[in-house]
Amino acid sequence: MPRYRLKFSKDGPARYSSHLDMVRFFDRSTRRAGLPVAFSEGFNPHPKFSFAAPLPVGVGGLEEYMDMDLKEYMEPAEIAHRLDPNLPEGYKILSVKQVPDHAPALMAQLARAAYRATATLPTGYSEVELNTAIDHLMKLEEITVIREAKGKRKEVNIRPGIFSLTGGVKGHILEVTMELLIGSTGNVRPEEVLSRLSGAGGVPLESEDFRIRRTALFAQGNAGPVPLWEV
Amino acid sequence: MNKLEKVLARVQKPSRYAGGEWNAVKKDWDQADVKMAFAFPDVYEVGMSHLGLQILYHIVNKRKDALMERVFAPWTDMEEQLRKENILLFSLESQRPLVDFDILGFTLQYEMSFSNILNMLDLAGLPVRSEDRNNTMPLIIAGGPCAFNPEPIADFIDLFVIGEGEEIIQELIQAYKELKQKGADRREMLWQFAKNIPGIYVPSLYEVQYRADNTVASVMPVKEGVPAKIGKRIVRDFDNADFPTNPIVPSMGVVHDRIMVEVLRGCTRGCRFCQAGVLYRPVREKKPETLVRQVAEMISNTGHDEISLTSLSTADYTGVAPLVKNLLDLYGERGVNVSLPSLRLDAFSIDLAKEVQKVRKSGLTFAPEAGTQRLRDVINKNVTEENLVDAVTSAFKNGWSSVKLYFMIGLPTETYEDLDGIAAMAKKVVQIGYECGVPRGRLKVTVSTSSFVPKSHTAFQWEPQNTLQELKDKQKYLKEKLRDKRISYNWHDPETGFLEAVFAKGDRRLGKVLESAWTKGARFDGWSEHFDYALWLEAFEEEKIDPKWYAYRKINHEEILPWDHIEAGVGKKFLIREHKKAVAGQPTVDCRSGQCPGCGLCPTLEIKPSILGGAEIAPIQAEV
Repeated sequence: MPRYRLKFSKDGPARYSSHLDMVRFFDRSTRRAGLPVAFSEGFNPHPKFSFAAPLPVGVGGLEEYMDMDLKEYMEPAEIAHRLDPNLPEGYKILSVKQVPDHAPALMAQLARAAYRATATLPTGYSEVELNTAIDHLMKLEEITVIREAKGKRKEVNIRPGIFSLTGGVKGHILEVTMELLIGSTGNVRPEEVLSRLSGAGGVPLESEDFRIRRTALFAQGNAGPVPLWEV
Repeated sequence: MNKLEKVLARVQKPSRYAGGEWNAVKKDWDQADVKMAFAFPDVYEVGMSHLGLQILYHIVNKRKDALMERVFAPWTDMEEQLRKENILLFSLESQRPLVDFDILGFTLQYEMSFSNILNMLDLAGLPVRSEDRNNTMPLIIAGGPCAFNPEPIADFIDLFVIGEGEEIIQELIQAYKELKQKGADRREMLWQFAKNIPGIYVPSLYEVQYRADNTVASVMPVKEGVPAKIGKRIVRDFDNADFPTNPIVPSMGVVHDRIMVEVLRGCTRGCRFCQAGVLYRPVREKKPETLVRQVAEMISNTGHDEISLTSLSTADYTGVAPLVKNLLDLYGERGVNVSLPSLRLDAFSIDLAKEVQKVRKSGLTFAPEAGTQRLRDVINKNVTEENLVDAVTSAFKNGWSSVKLYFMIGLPTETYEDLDGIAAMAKKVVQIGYECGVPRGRLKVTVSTSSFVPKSHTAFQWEPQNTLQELKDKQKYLKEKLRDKRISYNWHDPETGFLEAVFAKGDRRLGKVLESAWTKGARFDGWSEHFDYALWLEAFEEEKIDPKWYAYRKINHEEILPWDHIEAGVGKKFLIREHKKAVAGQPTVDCRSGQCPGCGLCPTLEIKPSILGGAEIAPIQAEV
């Protein structure tokens, strides 16, 4: 069965829906679009979709990825053309291409994600102050965060998973960009970095004040990260 | 990031408040003369499962001169955030505060949502009491089944719409627009609506007098031209009634997440406890070709993978078997399922269930309602034990292994023999399961009981409810009787049902209790995790109102009822006769049989049931 890779964005009101809801949106959107989606066998058939990485609720995604199996061949441009107008507000299909039928799962190739977080500053705060805070954070050998899973608290050192962290201040707008570890070897969440900057880091904001967007996803290439689309 | 975005980052399930769903309509605000908001006094997941919302949303937004947006009760975490950040309750589509709208319309689906109405008004920045609102504020209107006894919330709602909304909403918008252009103020508008639009009840234009014994002495209009009695509205041509084939597709999992196509309205069965059976009379069926067309449009407009054929009693639809087959032939291949919300207790229904559940054999639910033939005759639930035996035999033989039986306890005339009947029925079903060869480990019978709540406009409106202690004793008795590892027994705490009865049969004096309970923090009373019975009792005590008087009193047929001025079309004489027949254990015919039971609705409303296949019923003249 032909497999297609779709690059799409999810922002606006759509960023508030969970990953599970998004899977359901794609099921309905493909049905409205009349795409011949392949379904799994069994008592409870589900569409053959596979996504690169779930987005946290509230975080927008500017370049997200999914694979989709169809029952029959269709021009990639035709898929985009049919699907895009059938997606709810906030979704946009950016690109579609065919990949080998048994192309390895997106999730298995994923290594790094880029984020941009912006917030409005309530008080004066300079770019110099921000960069000092960032430098200080990046110089640490260990940044420990506490995660809770299934009622258990666990300490995790996220420092090795922060590949880059930069920031700027323009007027009242503060912007932080970062590249973080994602995928099968571990995850660093953007809020974890932001709360460290705003807490001990001295940035006069809370992590929930930031509007966060995931701007790109990367795979690990031989000579460093490559955009997931180019794998 | 604005205040709202910040708040959405802090709450659970923010998509409840974000809007942007497929088929949601965002109109140009300035182009609409009349701006309405549909307010559902419960969470998004419940409200978005309500077909009435989709129908009215579609009708209003089809108009060039009007718009309708939606708002749901914010969950408690969102309420906390809205209050903390001083954000006024807003609509999903344009995220405008509700105060910017002309009309705010609440749907009254169940009594336990009343506290949420007050809370939503308050969160919108509006005074909860009608008399405290001024010309700059939206009109607060309400409709739905609980509008048939509007008195307990009459202090808070400016105008009630009685009966079906499809046509009256058009008249209301038109009249509002004209009066607004003329510069009419709020009072003038309400008066004009009450005078000129049948089915509109403006409670402030009526005065209620009470007798020394606390019963109602009279409900009289206080202004010229206002009708003394308000009759319900009905859609005459149901087949051609405006029906949305492009419903909003929810942005998150909701209670009924599927295509809902209404195959018929009304129910002819005449169960004496059932309020919906009275309110939605007469029965009207849609033509199969209309349904097939609507389903086709809905599938391509929504992308849903399930079609639910909804109504009060879908198995009664004249052409239900061919319709189901037709839909499965058309869409089964594409992975679209058909479901029926309710089944009759007979082998025919099992055949239908077999059709629609070709692959998955989930449990089947039957509702015998009462455990003995005597009591089933009292409530006019015309099913026999033989029907049950046939139905479950057929179900077990066709591969089902779990059956759920639904009963009511506390019904009028009930004795412990009737409870024994429930237990005996459950055991009999287990026995049939074995005989039909259902594997021992898989056989499961679930008995579920709810407590009877007397409702207005029914034959049981004069009946007292069982006390909490009586109901708890009955539950305990059944728990003992149903001690069997193949039977599981579910029941509800009866306190909610008690308050439901108080408000279902209440009068205007309950308004202050509701307000007091809300002030004390009553919210989401239909949700067990939020329902606080002690708080309600405190409110009753402070307002010196005895809730037991409303729920536990046996009412005389001669007494004026607080809702007598709201007419559902079924005559009070008929209900009295039904009540007497109930106590005598006499059944009444189903009007689908071709015989007319004489409820008086058809002559009163000048309508006839429209049942496909030509079942003609000559209605008996109404008795006055």
